[in-house]
Amino acid sequence: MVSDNNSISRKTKLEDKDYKWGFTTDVETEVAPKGLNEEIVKMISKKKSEPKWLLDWRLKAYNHWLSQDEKEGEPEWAMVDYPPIDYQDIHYYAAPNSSDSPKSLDEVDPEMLEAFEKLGIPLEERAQLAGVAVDAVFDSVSVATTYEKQLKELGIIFCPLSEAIKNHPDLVKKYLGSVVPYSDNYFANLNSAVFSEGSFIYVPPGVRCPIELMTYFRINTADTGQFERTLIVADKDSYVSYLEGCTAPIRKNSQLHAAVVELVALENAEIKYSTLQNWYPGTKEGVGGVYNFVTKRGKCLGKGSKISWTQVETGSAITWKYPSVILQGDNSVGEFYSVALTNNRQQADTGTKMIHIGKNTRSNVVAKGISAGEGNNTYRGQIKVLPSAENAQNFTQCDSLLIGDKCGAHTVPYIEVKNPSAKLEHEASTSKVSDDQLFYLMQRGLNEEEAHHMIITGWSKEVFKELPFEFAVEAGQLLKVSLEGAVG
Amino acid sequence: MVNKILEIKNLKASVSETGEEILKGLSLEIAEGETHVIMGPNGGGKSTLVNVIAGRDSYEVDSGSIKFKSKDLLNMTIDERAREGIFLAFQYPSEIPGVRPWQFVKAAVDAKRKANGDSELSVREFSKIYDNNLKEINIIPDLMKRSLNEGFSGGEKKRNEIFQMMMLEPNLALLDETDSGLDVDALKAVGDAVNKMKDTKRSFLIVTHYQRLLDYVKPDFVHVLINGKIVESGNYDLVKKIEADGYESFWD
Amino acid sequence: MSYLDHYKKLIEAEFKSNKNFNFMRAVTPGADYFIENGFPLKKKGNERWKYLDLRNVTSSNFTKSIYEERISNDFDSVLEKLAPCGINIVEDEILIVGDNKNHLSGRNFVDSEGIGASSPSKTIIGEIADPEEDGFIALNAAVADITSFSINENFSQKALNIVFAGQSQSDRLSTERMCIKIHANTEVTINEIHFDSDFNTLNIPVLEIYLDKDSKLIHNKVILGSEKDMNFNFTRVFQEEGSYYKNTSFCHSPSLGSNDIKVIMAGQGSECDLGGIYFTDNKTQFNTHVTVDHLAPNCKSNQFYKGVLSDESKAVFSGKIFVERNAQKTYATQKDLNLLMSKGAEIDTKPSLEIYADDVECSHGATAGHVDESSLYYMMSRGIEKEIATQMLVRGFVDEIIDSISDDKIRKFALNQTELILPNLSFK
Repeated sequence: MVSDNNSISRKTKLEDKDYKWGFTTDVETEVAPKGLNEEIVKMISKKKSEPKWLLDWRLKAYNHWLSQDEKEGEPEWAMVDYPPIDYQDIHYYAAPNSSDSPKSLDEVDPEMLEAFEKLGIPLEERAQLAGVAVDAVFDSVSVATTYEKQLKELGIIFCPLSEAIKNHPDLVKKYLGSVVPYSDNYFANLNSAVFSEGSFIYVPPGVRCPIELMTYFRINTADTGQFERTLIVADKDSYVSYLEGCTAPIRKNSQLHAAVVELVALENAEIKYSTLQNWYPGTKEGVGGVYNFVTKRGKCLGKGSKISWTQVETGSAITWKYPSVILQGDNSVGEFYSVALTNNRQQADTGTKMIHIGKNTRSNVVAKGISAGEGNNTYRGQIKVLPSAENAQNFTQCDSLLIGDKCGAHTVPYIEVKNPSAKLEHEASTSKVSDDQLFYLMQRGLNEEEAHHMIITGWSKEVFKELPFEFAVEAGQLLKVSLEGAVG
Repeated sequence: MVNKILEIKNLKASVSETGEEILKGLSLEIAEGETHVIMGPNGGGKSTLVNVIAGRDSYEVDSGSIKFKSKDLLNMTIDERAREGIFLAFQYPSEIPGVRPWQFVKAAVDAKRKANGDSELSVREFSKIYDNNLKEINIIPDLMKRSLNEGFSGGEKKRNEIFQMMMLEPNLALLDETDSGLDVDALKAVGDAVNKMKDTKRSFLIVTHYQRLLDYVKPDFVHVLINGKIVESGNYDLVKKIEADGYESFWD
Repeated sequence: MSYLDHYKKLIEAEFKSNKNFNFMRAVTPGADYFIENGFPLKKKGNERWKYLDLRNVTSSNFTKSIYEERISNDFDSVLEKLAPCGINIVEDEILIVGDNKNHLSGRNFVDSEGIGASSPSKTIIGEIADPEEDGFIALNAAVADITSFSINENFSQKALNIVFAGQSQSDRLSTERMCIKIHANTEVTINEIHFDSDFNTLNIPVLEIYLDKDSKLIHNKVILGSEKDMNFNFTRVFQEEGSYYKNTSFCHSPSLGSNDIKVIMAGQGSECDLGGIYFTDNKTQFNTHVTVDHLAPNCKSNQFYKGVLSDESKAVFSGKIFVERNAQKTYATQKDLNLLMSKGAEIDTKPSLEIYADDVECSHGATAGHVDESSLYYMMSRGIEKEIATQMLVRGFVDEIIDSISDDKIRKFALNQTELILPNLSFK
């Protein structure tokens, strides 16, 4: 079943729960009481046998979140609308296979099963994807082991964050929170206080990671937790490409998902981070679905470094996400390529921030939004050029497509320039799929849905071509499935 | 007895948005293997006619009928008509970003084959036909690596239309001012391609302003379309008359 | 909140005089809103003013100016200022805005052919400019000096010139409110001219304009500012079916201020063209805020603004195209281009789209940068000094906007002003 020989999945080691969760078997039944307080934060830290500095950091984050919660609460500027979240009604710590998982495929939402079918996901994987609590051993484990050996030889560290905290405390201490501080924003603060798990990657100087690193490879394990935290550090002259997500609709037990991703690129290093997000969007009527409030940010710390974000966002009920790059090193480059789709009642407020600090820094933004059904899709982007950023350059292009007359497409760019040598261009357009184009394709014999799909995939190509090849093909298929019923 | 491929009876059609009537009771019959030409001044309804046949919904058919291979065409969607064997060479072909010509033509050919109960062509089979036809119509293969019609010159777009016609092998080809904007070489290439495709079963309906293309493609019938109606029909001599005297003599 | 106490008294005093009877529906909500919220100084959720430091509006307890102070008893000083525009008392219709009186260069304004005193208030006035939209508009509504009139097709002058003379005393507040109705099938040009003042003053003029069916209004706006005065200028326009509105603004930034335009396209098939140039220099801060609300189908709107920023000034552009669900077949564009001339200058531009209808064509674009280096190089290689070459390029940049001013006198005036501004811009 491992069709992609260049990929490795660490999360496929399902049988090894000790490894994954860092402590022993009674975890199976363990769920922290609902609610958030200092004791819960301490408990999480203790369960994970964390050093004191990390506990202190978590507590600082918690207290900051608390004061922010009192003062102004959640950020309200995004164009998303959802009922208030009761933060005291959430388990901040839960065992991986929590009891409300479906017991068998019979209990799984039939629409979700249908989607698996359409995406051509092998039968044996479907139960896993749907979150059915089963023990499974996959062929990929042996493959994964092979790659782990190869990575080890190169000195690349790729492990769960909790393991990195134990085995590479200096690296983690140096970079954790260095890009997204614990006081950054409401959801990031919450994450800093209670994050449960995530990935850690370190690529040593001069090393080019020979394979695409993935967290999920087709298979998502049981719920990874609502508060993931990922940290990737690329040392001087290194390169790494990281893939996150999966085309399959992922069931999440929890509604609120507040993750943090931090990337650090040192001198001449390059990090490429790709995401396919297809989490449960809720029903067509807008019931349920994941609230995806994620803080993703990279720092081009060294001269000539480069960070590139590519995302295809089709899932979640609400997406609140702005993968950003701080261009601190001279001559560094930041890129953001995005396709975000909202159908039915989905809402997405997503975009990027490019903060130009170093000289001759460049950034490039291509954002495509597709709104269908009753979905609302907002591009929100900030390009900031500080006085120190001589000759900074940015080009931003964001285009929106509207399908049907009940959706909305919005574009909110913020361009802030404090250096006269900067050069910035922003272009955006909003329209529906052109009648002329549709007529042209249909005159050649394609039906309305095929014609729409061909036009939309073509329109998204500038972003798809930034994805690794297999992902690009899947992304096209994903758009097709996500748009089903929206046309005609 | 030759079979009728297209029968238009007393067709009235208007612009959907404004309600302005363009075709005001037009009748036309085309038999298998025939080449018809429609000429006429601007605004007379030439383009409207071919677009209505293809099913464009910016026009409303108010009354009358169109039969294609004895089937009621007006009940079919645009793509059904196409798969049934109607091909429109557009006057202004759309540019479609990100869509490769190869991918597009393959999808169109497969859609038609599927409708006919044939299996999809393998990449190898398809590519062979594709490459041969490109050569035939003399399109630089590099051009076809771009997005569909994007960055194509006017002449290149028209050649691409004829190329698609060759790939799709329609029963009835509607050529909407395919000759306009073509240089002599391109005009000849289009003419040669049409002549080569002519056979006893395939029919053409050519809309044009000029005699130019007709120097290469000899029509069986020529019609003059003015103010939504065919006011005169005849043979090739009619073209010469128009070229010499214009349309004035045809007005009531 | 001592400044609020001051304005509370001011508002109460105005209430007692009760002169704004026709306008009550805007006065009360305006007063309530302002007393509750004050000036828009809050940081959170304050998208319109987020980039500006507005604290200076509370630096003094501004009191209402009185007419005599402002015009210094005769029109000569004002007419003198107008002379460079070529606007004169003999051939032009001039409305000099003072305190609660309507003066028209010696004639009774409402007697002019085509101008009716008939208050348009019955239909829309006080409602086009929502008093609860913004603290400045609210304060204006609460203590407004109102001039309201309508223009019909008998108006035969080339243009109506509305002149706001700069104030001649410090710590004065001006809250002029003009309510103008353009009758159906009427075509008119209005030139709105704000002169600068050398005094620390707070000016909050609000124009409410109602365009009836198939009317056409060409609105040219000139805002001249100094390093002392503040000008928060609001234009609110309501368009009925088939009407056309064109607004071209020429702004030289006051110490702090804004050119805030909102057009409500309520009638099918209406069109508007909004454009302008803003020069900011020294330490001034200026906000250009443009909103077009497409509420009806088949409307067309264009926004085209340019900015030239020098010294340590700051310019903000926030444009918005809003398309309501039933406003199908909307065509809307928005463009904001900026030249940053010196270190220390800052541009914050936010061209945004909010679209709920699918059959639309909307686009926007924004740029920020320096004058084109290769053009500069080319000109210098022909022996032109850098400073001169730069000025020529800036001239070329702004000409596109100035050329679009259709009123000859205002266009010429804008050109003259540009000639005055350019040599003083610092290009470092």
